[in-house]
Amino acid sequence: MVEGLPKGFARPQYSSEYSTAPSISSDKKHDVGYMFSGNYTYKNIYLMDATVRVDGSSSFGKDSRYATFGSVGLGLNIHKYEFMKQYPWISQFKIRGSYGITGKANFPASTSKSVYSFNTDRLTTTGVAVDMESMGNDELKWEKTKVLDFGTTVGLFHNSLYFKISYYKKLTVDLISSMYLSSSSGFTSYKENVGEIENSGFELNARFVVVQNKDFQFYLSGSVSSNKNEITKLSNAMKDYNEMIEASIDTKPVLKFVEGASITSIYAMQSLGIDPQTGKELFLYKDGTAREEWLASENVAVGNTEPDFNGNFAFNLNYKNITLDAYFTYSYGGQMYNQTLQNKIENANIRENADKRVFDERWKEQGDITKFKALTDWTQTTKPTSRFVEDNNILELKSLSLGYSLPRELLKNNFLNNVKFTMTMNDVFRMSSIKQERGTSYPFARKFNLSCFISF
Amino acid sequence: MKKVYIYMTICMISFMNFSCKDWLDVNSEDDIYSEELFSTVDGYYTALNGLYSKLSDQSLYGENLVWYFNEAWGKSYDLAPDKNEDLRSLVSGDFENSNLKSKTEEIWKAAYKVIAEANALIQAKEADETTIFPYDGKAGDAVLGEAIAIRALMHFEMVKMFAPAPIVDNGGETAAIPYVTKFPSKINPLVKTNVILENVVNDLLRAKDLVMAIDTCEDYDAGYASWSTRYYQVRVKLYNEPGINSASPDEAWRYRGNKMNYYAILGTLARVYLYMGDYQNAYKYASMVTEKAGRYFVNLSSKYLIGNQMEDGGVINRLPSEMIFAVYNEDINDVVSTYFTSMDNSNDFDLFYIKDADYIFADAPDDVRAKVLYENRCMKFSLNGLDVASLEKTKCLIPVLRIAELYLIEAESSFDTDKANAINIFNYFVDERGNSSTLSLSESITKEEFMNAIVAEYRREFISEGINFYVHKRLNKPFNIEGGEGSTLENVVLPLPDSYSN
Repeated sequence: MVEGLPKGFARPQYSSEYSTAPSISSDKKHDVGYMFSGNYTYKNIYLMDATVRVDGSSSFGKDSRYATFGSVGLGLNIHKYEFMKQYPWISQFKIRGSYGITGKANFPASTSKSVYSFNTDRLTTTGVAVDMESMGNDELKWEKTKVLDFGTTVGLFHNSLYFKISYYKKLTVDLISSMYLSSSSGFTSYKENVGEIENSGFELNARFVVVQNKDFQFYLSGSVSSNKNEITKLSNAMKDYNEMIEASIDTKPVLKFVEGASITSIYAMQSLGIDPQTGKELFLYKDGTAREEWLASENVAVGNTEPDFNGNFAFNLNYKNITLDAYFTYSYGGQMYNQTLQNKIENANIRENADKRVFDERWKEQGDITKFKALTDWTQTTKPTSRFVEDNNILELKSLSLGYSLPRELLKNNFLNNVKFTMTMNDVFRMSSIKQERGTSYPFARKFNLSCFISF
Repeated sequence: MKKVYIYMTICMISFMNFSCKDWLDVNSEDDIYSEELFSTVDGYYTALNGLYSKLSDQSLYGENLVWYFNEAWGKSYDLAPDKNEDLRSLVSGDFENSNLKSKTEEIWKAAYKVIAEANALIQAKEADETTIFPYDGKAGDAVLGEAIAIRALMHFEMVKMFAPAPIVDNGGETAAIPYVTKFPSKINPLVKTNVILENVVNDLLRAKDLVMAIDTCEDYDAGYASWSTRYYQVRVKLYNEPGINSASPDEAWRYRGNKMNYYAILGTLARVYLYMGDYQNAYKYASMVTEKAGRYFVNLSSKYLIGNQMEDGGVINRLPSEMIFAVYNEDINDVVSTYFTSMDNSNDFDLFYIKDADYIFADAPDDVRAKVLYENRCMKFSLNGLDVASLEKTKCLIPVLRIAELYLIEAESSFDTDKANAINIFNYFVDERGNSSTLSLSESITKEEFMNAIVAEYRREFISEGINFYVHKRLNKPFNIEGGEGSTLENVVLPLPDSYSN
């Protein structure tokens, strides 16, 4: 039986009484795109390519549905010039650069519009009711990214020494980000064009053939990259938002989007540690005083999750039938918020089973010098504090594999063509400045693989 | 080759033109965008229903603002030591307790969600020049008026919770909550209590004029805001007597007597003015309701409707016939059965026992309301012992404003200017509850004695209705508990929830 259908919206999923109420969920979104692209090469020395595209998406408010994007790239194969023939040891020397604008609409259509849904759980005395599910932002615009990058590729001695260096500058205009909202607006988050963000950095890839002969090969490779991001400009909507916050009378939330700041910063109270007298945490306020009260307005950037640089390095070694490969990754100069430690020790429910340290390492009596606040304050939730911000330097041996192929002579008279045994270990070791606690639900997994490859 | 390219280009261009113009105008199948909702009369009605539905949620009048949070705050219950940590923290003033904080968050968020949705409706209606509402457009005025009244009501509930009472705050100097009148409204500065209350009053005054035609004018048969039959469709309309017994032809205007109708708005105005200490206006608006009482309209129920429902199935202690504004929640009886039931206590129940039950009625031995308490449990919400089928929709009503309160407001607000009238109204009220010989007051009574009598009446009348707490807060009068409670009233202002600023 279908009952309680709201007039004018007669679709079965809106009925409040239905013997087996169907549930439907869909997110309909229409996109349209027109594109032109072309490339031109002259004498294999001068390279050029260009694209132009017009994209439309129903996700955006009526006035900003279409946007035009494009890119152009130029390259120069220097090693193809006549005069380069006198330097035969330069096997490759190329410089290139490109500039492009891309856009994205990677959010559900409902973020630009306020969406209601029928409340089918309960009827009112006057029929069916609706709930507003999301607060739309009909001023939402396309997020555009302008990318300028140039680089060079150099190969020496028949490419046995090979470098690729590139530098990029990415400017994201009208960055779309989830903003936290004061609950007095009726909602707690919405999407907003927050402003311009600049990412700049470099990437270096290198490969070195150390030895290469019939029985023995040894290769080294590695990369290093670094990225920096900065909010260069705030949208007018964000500026108004910040101004209103500054002007509000009471507790002010932290301004996470300010010009010159980084979007990967960790905001928290600057902690002075646990007061041995009281077992309460002391915070350093911006005016230099030490107080116990946690205030959103006194939060500062206490770290940045983005590392100063990171990358990988690897070696491959072959000796006759034996191969040995290793792949390392590293990261240096970033920070992480140790949420696990905070949740397991300070925000633990002591009425249930809890971590041993809840009892052993928290402040208990006057004079205790501890890292964790008083056990007696267990009902008070610990909020972001620099006490749990830790340097996050990592060196990992991601994989190590050893292989052995049966010598061809052994197989010669057989129908077998090739037989190879491989042993691979993943996540072999991990050195980190944070003692990471993954818990039992997501434990650190060390994987071993043994495989045998046979071809006929 | 060249020709092929040309053909391809032509094909492409024709395809582009073929694609329909409205390709980017999509609406999802199961969601409704606001433009669609606010393009028809029925859309507006369902949006208004949405406001009422949320008011009846457990976060608001379905639980917290009536018999749970607000009632417990008035120290009405004997709370078991191992249960209801949120309420025990509330009573003891441990406002940092995480259970209490999440409960406070829940109430705050629900209230401001209602305000946001009301604002979306108000804004859409005010900008709408095309939708044609029935009854000469008066139905549209009423929808707008009700949304404005609900916005005011929620702000009033929040200012009572989160701000000090005007009597201890120099008339409301503290900026405690924001007043939101726009959608979307991303950041909302805190506003002084006296400004909040002024906004509440202005909204209610505007709302009153908007709903008046539908609820009182005989030209429109939509809104009957009168209590006509005991169990069916409660309606208000005072001047169209022959129409009283017929159901409204339009579903959207049935059960008018429980909605934010003309009289509910007048009654709420009386409540707000009294909280502000404006006795003149409190009296004015309370009497605008009570002077109609009895004329096919709500009035104090017969005392025979109040009693021990386990012995007499004819009583109905929730007194639906007195409700001027009530919320409707189909699930309410499952919810309350955990807290109020005639069944024996076991570990499965979080039964609420009324504190000092005998003390409350000590000086009123004949009071019919004493029988509402069954083994010290309040039997206003439990259906035990009642003929459930005959109750129809009234079994799902939760009172927010009853006519009884308006008599008490009239009495209190006229004492200073017309003592005889105040005593007259008070004596009429206590007589209706079976106390004519014991509680009647004489002309010689002092203001203080009179106020004590009023406060005691609130306690007896509104057990488990979430009203008693605000009487004490409004008057800055310590709770009246057996053995006394000290000379000051403490822990009556909640701190702002964290989500306000984060």
